[in-house]
Amino acid sequence: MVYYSSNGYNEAMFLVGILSWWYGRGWNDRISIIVQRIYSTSDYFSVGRLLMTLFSPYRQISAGSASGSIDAKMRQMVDQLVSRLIGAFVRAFMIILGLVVLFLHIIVGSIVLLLWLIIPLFPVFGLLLSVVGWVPKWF
Amino acid sequence: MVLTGINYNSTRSHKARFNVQLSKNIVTLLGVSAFILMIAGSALVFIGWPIGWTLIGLTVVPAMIIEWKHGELKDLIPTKEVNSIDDILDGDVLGRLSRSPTPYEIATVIGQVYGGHFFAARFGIGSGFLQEISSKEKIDTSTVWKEALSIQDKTKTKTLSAGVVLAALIQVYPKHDSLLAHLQLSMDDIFSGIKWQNHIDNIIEEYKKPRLTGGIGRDWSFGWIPNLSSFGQNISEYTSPLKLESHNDSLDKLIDMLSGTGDRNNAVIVGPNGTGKTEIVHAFAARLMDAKADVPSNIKFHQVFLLDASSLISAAPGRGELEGLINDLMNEVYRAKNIIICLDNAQLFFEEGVGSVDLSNLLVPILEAGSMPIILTMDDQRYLQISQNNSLIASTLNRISISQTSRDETIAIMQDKLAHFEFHHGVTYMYQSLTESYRLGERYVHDLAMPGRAIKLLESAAEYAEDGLVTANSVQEAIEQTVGVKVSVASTDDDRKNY
Repeated sequence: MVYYSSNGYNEAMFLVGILSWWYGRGWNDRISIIVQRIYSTSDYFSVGRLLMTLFSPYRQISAGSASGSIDAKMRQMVDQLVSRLIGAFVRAFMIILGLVVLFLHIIVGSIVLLLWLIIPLFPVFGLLLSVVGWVPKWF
Repeated sequence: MVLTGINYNSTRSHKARFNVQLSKNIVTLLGVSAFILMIAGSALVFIGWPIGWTLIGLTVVPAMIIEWKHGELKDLIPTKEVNSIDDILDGDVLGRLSRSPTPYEIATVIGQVYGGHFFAARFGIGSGFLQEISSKEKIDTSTVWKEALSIQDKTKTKTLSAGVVLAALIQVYPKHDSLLAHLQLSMDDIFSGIKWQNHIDNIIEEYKKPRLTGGIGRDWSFGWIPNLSSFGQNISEYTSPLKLESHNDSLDKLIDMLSGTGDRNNAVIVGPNGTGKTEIVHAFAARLMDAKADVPSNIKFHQVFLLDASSLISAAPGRGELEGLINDLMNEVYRAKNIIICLDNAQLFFEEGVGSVDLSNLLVPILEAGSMPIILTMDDQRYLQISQNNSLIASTLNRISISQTSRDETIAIMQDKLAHFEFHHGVTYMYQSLTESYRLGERYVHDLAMPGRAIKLLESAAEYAEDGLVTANSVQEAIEQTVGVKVSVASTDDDRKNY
């Protein structure tokens, strides 16, 4: 016989419902959130775009072609080279920063996913620790 | 399979009831208890009492319930295999229904949920109205569900939402047409309301998704634009992910023309004032800034700058000065390589007059060269005039003609504008005010085309809101005050004497 409370549901259904969601859709949703966060971080640091334009002149400074004497052409070439080097330096710095943040996101995301699996067991762990009687020694 | 009843013991029904039980107050209480358990447990462990671990461990119980509420219960998705009404009925309605509900009980529940509140505020159809027309016999419930399924199919709604069930309750009432007529509504308006609500839900869903816009290094490969930043307005900075309710074909054409697949890299959007030419440019800018949108890579993340003729003319009053300024701006655009210029009201750049100056000699060669993407917006009459005077302009430009919007399109556009108007004026618009704005706008406002004329009227109606509610009467009053024509029915002797 199934027992129903005055609210029209039974307590066993509550436990089954929450646990089946936790290890089913809840877990999948958590993965989606982490993946989405990684995408957003990659977009924020423009990692893909910066890699594709790594050696482009920074802000188009000294871009274009120069006509005239060899001296003018040489100066223009040097200017462009400097602009491209500055661009490559700034972009490389941002790419490295972005990759570090991405790496941190992946690490934190993996920890969250692992914790997600064992969170429902926390009350049991807590009870066991209480029974064992272990507490950290602060002093 | 004909679905006519609710399985009260299904998993989804249980979850819907859990959701209703977990009200806002309960969730807050759970949050507070989790916090207290964590603090108390930590304190006990700190002073050397192992029982603290149990309290810390128990913290996850309320936390898990809150997570479940937000992750699943709040928005119960329909069951894949639909066997009974509870598999597709909205969770907030399902969770409040008894084992064998009567249409009257369903009407009562509809009045308690968000979908019901929406129809009460927007259409004036409240719980009392629904209860009055609903049967108290359990046997009639299956007819309501059958009708609701048919309406769900008709309005392409994902679930049996509160709005769909409300429409079904009205539809099964034999004299619904005459009843709705009292509220200046028809069944089609109710269906339109369901679509409106679905649209709002979709917008909320869109806003929840993170926007990918290229990031901080997006523009590093493009040039500086100091002059353009001073004289132009970068509309790409203020884009929202909203989609156009009409003129989508024109937007696709615009993208096609400016992505360089054609010979000339320009477009002139031609149409009467009020048709939404500038709106298309804004939607275009938003599309370019959306990383997920299907846009050719050569214009993706390009920024659209609006150049205003009057501000340019006032900044450089002399002829030579103005041409010099325009030349500088065009040079910046060319060098930057990620800018699309939009000359709004471009007729002001092609004819001599008060507040306008003829720059054809400067602009036509740029347009002909096709190396710089430019958008122009122009009134259709002025475009014809300019084309007649200078046929080279017409042959150089790719024309996109914009026509007036239909009634349904206009109402959909107005519905999108409401959020802004309501926030700005602190009022709530009823659906009847939208239809009345369209009707009276078409009849009495002649200086703009649709949807501009209806939108203009709708906004001015906010001044005549009754207790914060903009009704059809508010719109009538707005037109009476602005045009001076009596459009509402004279209700008192004084009214009759005055008109």
